[in-house]
Amino acid sequence: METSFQPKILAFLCNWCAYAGADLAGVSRLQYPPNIRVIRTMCSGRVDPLFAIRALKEGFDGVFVGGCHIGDCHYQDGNVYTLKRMDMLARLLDISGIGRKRIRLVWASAAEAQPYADSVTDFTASITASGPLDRSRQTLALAGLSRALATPRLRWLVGIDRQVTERSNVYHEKTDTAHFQRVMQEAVETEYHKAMIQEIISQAPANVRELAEKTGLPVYTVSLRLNDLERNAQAELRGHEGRTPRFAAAA
Amino acid sequence: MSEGIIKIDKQKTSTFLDKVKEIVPDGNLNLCLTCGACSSGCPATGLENMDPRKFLRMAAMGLDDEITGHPWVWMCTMCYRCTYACPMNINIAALVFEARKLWPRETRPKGILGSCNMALRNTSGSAMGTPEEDFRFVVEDMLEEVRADQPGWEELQAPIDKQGAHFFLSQNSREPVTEPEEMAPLWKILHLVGADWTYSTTGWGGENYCMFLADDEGWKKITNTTLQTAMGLGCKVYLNTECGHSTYSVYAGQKKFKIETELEIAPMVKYYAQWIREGRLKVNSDWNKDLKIKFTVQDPCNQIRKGWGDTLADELRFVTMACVGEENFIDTYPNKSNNYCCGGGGGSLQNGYKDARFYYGRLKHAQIMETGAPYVITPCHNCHAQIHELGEHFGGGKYRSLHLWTIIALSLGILAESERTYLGPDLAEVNLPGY
Amino acid sequence: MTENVIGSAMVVGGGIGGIQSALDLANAGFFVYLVEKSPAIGGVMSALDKTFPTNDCSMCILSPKLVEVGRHRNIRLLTLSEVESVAGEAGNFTVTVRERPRYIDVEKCIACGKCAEKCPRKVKNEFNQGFSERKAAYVPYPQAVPLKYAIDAAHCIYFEKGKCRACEKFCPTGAVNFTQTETLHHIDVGAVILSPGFSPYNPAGVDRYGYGVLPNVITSMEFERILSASGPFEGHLVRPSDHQEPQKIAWLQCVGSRDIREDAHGYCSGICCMAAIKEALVAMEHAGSGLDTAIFYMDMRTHGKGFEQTFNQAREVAGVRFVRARVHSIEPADSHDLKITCFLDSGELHEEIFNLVVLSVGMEISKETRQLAEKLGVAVDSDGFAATSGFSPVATSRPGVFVSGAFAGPKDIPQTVVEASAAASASAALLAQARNRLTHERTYPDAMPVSGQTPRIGVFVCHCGTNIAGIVDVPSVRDYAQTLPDVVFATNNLFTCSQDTQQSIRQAIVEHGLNRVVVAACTPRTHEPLFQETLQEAGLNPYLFEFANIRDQNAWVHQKNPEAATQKARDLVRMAVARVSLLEAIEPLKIPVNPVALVIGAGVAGMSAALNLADQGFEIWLIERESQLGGHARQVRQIWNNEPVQPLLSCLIERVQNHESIHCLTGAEITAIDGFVGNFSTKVQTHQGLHTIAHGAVILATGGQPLQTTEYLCGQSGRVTTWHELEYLFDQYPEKLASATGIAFIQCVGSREPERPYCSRICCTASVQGAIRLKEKKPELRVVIFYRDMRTFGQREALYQKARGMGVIFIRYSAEDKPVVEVDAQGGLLITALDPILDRRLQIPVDYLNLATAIVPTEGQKQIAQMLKVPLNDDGFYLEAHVKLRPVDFSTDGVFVCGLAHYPKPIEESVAQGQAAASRASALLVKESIDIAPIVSVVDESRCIGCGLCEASCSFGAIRLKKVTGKGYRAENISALCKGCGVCAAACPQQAIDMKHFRETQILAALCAGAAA
Repeated sequence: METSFQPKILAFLCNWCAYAGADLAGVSRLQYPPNIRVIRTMCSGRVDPLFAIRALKEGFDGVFVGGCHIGDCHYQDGNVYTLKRMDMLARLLDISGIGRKRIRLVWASAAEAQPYADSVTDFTASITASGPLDRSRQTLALAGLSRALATPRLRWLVGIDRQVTERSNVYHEKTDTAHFQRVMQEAVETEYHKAMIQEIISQAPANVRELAEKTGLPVYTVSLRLNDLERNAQAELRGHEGRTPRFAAAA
Repeated sequence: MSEGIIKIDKQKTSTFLDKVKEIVPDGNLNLCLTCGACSSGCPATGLENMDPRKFLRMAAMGLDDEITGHPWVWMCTMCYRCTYACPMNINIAALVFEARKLWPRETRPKGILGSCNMALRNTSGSAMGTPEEDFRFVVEDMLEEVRADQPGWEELQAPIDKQGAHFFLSQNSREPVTEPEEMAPLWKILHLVGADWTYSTTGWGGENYCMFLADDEGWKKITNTTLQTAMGLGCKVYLNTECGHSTYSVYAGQKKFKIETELEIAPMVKYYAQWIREGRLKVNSDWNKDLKIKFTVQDPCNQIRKGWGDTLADELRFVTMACVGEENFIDTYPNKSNNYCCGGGGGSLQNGYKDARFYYGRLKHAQIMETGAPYVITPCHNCHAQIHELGEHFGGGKYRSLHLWTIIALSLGILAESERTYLGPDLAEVNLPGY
Repeated sequence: MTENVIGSAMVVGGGIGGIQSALDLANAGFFVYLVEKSPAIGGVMSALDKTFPTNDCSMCILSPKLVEVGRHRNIRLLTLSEVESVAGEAGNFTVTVRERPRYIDVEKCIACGKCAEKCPRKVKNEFNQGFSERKAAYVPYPQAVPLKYAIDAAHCIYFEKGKCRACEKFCPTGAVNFTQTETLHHIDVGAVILSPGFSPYNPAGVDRYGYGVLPNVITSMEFERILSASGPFEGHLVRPSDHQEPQKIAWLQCVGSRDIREDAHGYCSGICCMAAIKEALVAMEHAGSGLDTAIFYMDMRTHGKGFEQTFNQAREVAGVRFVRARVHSIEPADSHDLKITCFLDSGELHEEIFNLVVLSVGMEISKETRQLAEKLGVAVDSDGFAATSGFSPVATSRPGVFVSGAFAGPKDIPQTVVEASAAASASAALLAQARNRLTHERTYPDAMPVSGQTPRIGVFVCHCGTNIAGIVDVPSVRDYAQTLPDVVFATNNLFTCSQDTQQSIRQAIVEHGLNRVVVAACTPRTHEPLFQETLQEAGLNPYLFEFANIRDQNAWVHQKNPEAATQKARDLVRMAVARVSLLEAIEPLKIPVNPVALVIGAGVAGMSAALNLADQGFEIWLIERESQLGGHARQVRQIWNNEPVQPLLSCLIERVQNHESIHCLTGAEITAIDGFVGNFSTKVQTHQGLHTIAHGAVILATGGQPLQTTEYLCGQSGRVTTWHELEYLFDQYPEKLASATGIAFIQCVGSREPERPYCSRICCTASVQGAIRLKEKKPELRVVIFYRDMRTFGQREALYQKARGMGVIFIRYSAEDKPVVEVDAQGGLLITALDPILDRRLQIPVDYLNLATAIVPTEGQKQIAQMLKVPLNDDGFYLEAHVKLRPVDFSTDGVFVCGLAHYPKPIEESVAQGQAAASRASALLVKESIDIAPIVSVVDESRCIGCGLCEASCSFGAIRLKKVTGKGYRAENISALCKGCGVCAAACPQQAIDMKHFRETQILAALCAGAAA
């Protein structure tokens, strides 16, 4: 096994639990691999999934998020939002082929030094085993992920999850969790596809076949997504190459 | 549900419980939390579909008719293990004692009734009805025999009615009546330590079945006779041969019936321990160094839990270990003040409910078996008999019960062949006197 | 009372109660001396693993309070200290305190742990209940405050043998000082608060349980440490004898409690039922579903807020087994396992083998505490608890000396915190005229403007003795820092936190014109405030600071890899520099405070709150819906301790009505409440008209009421009454009592039912007291109480015992088999119920039946909650900010709660809670303006589309939609309410929200810097 690879891991730790647990690991002299770089936030709920993608783009091989156990959040329930967002991020990473193994969400209380050290050790081992993230081959995927995560649709959906599944919507209807999950999965896929297409056509006009080739999506799916983008004035027909229409990002 | 609906009368009539509360004002009988600690630790729980908590609850609910004549009251040995765990310190034994009185005297168990009546027949206090002069004869005869047969014991004494003796020693009737040679080891022990002691012809009987019968008058009479005799002889200490209930009957009876006395009422074991500590009783466990024969002890409820507590239980262990070697002593669990009653107390040996008595004794048997010891030292006559029977009944004779005097005498090298009835073949010839 | 009132107080005992009292008083303008006998504050709570009913990590919620006390400018900690005597009188005491030597100079100690590392003497670690070892040089626990080592002279080799001094030799700061001696302090204070806490009952004397003989029989305190992640087994659930994971654990309740024999206590310790449930649930979490747990109990006493629900959940969902039986003895089953035999209601003896048995040991007052009370002349009752009165629950027999927590009777953490605040407010009322006389406010020079300036960054890298420098190549990190963009100064220090280094940092800021500072050292959690203060002293805004954690999260966790640790330190410094260069000066947020309080509800809770605040000098508006003051207490006869209520109530009402600072509005309805902390405006409608009241705080004391029921013929038969009705009936018609032969009570009517799962807390005591009064009047009367679990918690247990002693018959029933009540042929009542002990049905004729119906919130509670945007729990009671440590606060600042509106409770608890609410409110009202944390969210209105997701996601109501002309709705931040979590920023679909100090650009700068190797 290749042992020279030393992964770079970024961690976001909430101030009240995970960061305190990490400190206690130090006080207790627990030892774990030195690959992790920590950014402290007040609550894990501050962590925008976009930060994680940015970290992967910039050179980190894995992203670790540590928060309080559900119910222990210093801000009542900020970590519940973290949970939802990390779940969405994991789905997107899976679809993109990068895989959810690049991220990890861990709850660690201020007293849980050992669990914290163990999860850092374990995550480091897991990322080491996965090898370095090949950014040159994942350029489109990472760009697509950033675009998808910035879409109001996904941000809205992940934000409204609790509102509609735990409480009720304006019509006093409560949405079944499984149903919501299906909607979320569909949205995540669609938005990611659209994001990849947008990324390609933002650089140069392309036809459907080229788009299918680059994104790895079936032609029919590309057509559907392009229609969608056109309707929302995010893509437009930019002339023909022979008889083949070419599309470009809307001006 | 066990029985039908209990209809409670609108007008409350005077109940048994109220009566007992008057008699035993510090018995806390109303305070029951119905927690069940008593019943979970009582070996008699389940007999006759009864247990201590239920019995008290029935009394509290005024179900006097169902309590009256209930046989369970004779199966309870009044060992106090319920009270020992009761967070409200409820004296359930006192309730059972009074419930025994709900039986017309002549309908109470024949064995107990007979023994009580025997003891009341003359002033000996002997439950076997042995008259005063017969006792004197047996003691003197036995003493003669030892003096004649056992070299070195020509000066042995067994004084009777000796004025001014320090110790007044009572004697359970079993030995003089059925196995007089069992008296000799104790005499030798007393002789070795130079104790100034005496028997008496009046009130010598070291048992009290009237107490078991819940016959207060009889209990009082026997206790009073004994104590008056001892006081009359100018003794300082009332000592009982190793007998739990008898010691307790005097100890508790003196208080209950407010018999004024300055006598110290003491269990024998305490003095054994004291004499060993003072070097007057030079016991030695070397005989068991190689044999490694194991011993355990029985803590008689009447002396330990109801009497002198862990202090005395520790003395019992001290004496035992001094005689058999520390490494050869195996304790039971639970033990001392939380010990399981063997089931031989409360008159149960004479109550006629033999199956119940064995059922009761199952826990004691199990804990003895757990120790693996072939000998149980039982400084109490009823325990001695019950454990002997348990060993026969359940254990196929896997263990034997011994009085402490036997093992003390053995370890002193003064236990004659004739005094080894209760020892097994493994000890038949160990440390015999050198003659 | 003296004229020379001293503006300071002494709090004796540094547990959670003492900590709360100290903080409340110090924040309300009084100087506080906090005296603790051990080397660190924290008390019993610091040793607990989780706290019920929420299973919060105990240390996690306690630790911020410890730090706050440790840093508070107006609290002086006296550790290793005990009170010797108190002379003088209320308002002007002189307290003599004996301080034992620590043999460590706290000014010099940096808590590096070298002394403990080098100390050759191992001692049983009492914090871990003896399951692990510590050294003679030690800190009691890692989060201890003060975080200073101490030398345990009782075990130190130097003190034993005259040589060793290894600690002294290796201490990098020369903090060890063996010449320290005992010091006597004479301290003048105006008031004294006693919060010495309790000792756990020692079950070693109970031979039946085998504690101390059977190694796997342990106490609940020991089990807490076993469960704790920072405990002897690092939270790995194993038993002591062989360190194997238990498969079956039993808890035995009431060990040392509800037991009237010598060496035990007749009272109920009040907390053990919930503690056992919590321990069982947490144990199952640790061990997984395979763990079998059984709790052996007499009555489950889950009478607190949320407790019954936890009990139900434990039983029905988690599968904790609850066995109603007290166990006689624990016997060994083999050399490790344990046999328990119990007796079931079914009449069966049930025998079971467990791998571990936990004894739920009760509370007791230690000999030392009894001696303290004696020295101070404070009266205690026969159980050793401080004697108090129902209407002044925190006042002792000695004026000016107050009490809180378990020393005033067994209680849980929230009730302790309530009393601690109440004791603080009672002290504050006494000392009001001397407020702010002895406290210090720190002032700083005006901050220099930095906006628009090129960053000039200074980097200070800490050796921390050898803690960092022993692993990390500090000089190389310093040299590296020098090369980073905008860094104009970098240096290294042996101890960056030391006093002289603060001076050199200030100097460097001035000399090098620094406008940003990075410290690379231990951890920001303990030291960021210190350096921020240094920046302020040098005229820099405190937010222009960043910490690089190169000790706790680097040097200490990579000890075997110095090269990687050095590289990591460089990376962390680079990240910090990148972030600090983008940090902005943040101006403190100040909002003015109107020093007026509005109290809604004039029952005992509301009146107690109003009166205390008025005595403290604040103006109060007391709003009562009824025409009279007094609330439900008007119907109550006795406090549990038999004090008559009515004379005390009249006295309270009179004082409230005659107080010049209290405006009472009766027959009043609240129609609207607007505003926020410090600045509320409330409209109140009375017969006289509409009042608009401006106030800075609001206290909700809206009370509760008994449930109306139709169960058990209530409403159909005149012989069936509820609560106080029966006694009033007998008062009015004595002949009815005279002719009666039997009276029954039924408990839990409407409580502990699926639709109302909570326990109403006060009903058991009320019915038992009622039964006692009936028996006293008519001893031959048959009195029967049908109950589910008798919950006469704490010292109220004495009433239950008294009632039984008087012959009151208690019959337990289950929710599935309730008593059946019929009218009999003679017109009386016939009650048929199963007696579980006899396992037979009883038919009991009675003349009257009194029902203890549930206590429910008052109507209108919901509307007020909506007006103030404060939450209600599922049962309709107000939901406080934190059930353990903030029992009278809401997450919404400036709003407080007390009395039955919070949860059913007896009068003395309502009084205490009213006073506690007053204490919390006074800390706010005493200030002209309050600083609020300025790390708040900011909305970019140009990007906002008014979707409202932020508003939906904010748990604090700190962001909301406002109407913007021509644009529809746009989000706006209410800084006064914002807690700074940043959830909204991460949520915004338009990325229109950012967080100050945690701006996207700032986070990404650190991120990018971290990625660039």
